[in-house]
Amino acid sequence: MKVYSAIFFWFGGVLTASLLERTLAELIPGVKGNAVIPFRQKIRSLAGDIPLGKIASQQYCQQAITVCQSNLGAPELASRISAAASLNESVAGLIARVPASYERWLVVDYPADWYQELAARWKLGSLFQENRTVFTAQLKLLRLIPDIFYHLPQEAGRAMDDCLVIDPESARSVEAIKHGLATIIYVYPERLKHELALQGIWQTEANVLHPAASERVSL
Amino acid sequence: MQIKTTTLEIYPGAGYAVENITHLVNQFVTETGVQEGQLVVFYKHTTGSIIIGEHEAGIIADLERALELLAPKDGQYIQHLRQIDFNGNAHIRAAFMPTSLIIPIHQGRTVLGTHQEIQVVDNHPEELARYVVLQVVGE
Repeated sequence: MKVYSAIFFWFGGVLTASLLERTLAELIPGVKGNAVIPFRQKIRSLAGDIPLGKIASQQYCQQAITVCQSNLGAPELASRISAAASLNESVAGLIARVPASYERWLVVDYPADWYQELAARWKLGSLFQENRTVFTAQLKLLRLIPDIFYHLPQEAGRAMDDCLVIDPESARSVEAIKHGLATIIYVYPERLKHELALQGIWQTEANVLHPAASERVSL
Repeated sequence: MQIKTTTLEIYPGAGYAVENITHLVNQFVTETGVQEGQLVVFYKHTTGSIIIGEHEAGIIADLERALELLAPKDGQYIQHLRQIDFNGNAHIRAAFMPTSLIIPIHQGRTVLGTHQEIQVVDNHPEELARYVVLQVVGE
């Protein structure tokens, strides 16, 4: 089995909801079906500018409000996104139990000011050392994919082969593996635990690869 | 005997996309309270499918490569001659995979195997809302 040294967890989509989903929930909560698609596309594009450092939180809010033709003010949207954000406690619990032999890294794709506020509220300092938090906006990337796949190992001072990324976005995960960076696609906490157990990161005596009766073991 | 039905709305994204809906399906099965029965998972579209697979990035990449050999994204499709839509590759890919699954329910949960997950595979070039119907029959 391959052994990794550094495990990277994306902030948006793993530890908390993605910026896209949080923004849509605040600005157009009732819009469903194909009516929501143009909003999703525009807000996704805007939210994609944040991890590249192209726009700050204030501009993001202002532009998102314009896209969704909302009556909210930018400060109000910012405060609503922050107030409604919640920590995925199950995932936090899993991360806390990753053995100390693995370096735990956090990849922050939220605006730094929002992240700092949430990190203080959720005491994320106990999960990730300050010097193991990567703010993608500070990397000055021209494009997130594939550049981030090369920058993350560099930030950790590790070879790509030593790194594993927990990524909530299936398409980005697929691109990562095509570039040689191993990933686990985050969908829900129990599944993440199972995947970590398959990699030998979640410690268990159970045979998770070929269990008896071919039933997924309950960890 | 009970019959319970619901519809999931998902947003797989444009182009080749694979979405894991296992947790949403399991949540519905739990909510029905049915202990012994069957679950039908039905995809309501002609550009995608429902499969059981492992939601692993390498497998998803390999499946894309296989589908690209079968029906290339930039291939020429007779369907495009009517000039209404240009998603011939998505239709051909979908024709080779199922649009429905039947999964047994035992002791209140789906009896999926160790690495089995329920995935939507869609290839529509545009981003659209997609619908999956779940129907539980049992007691």
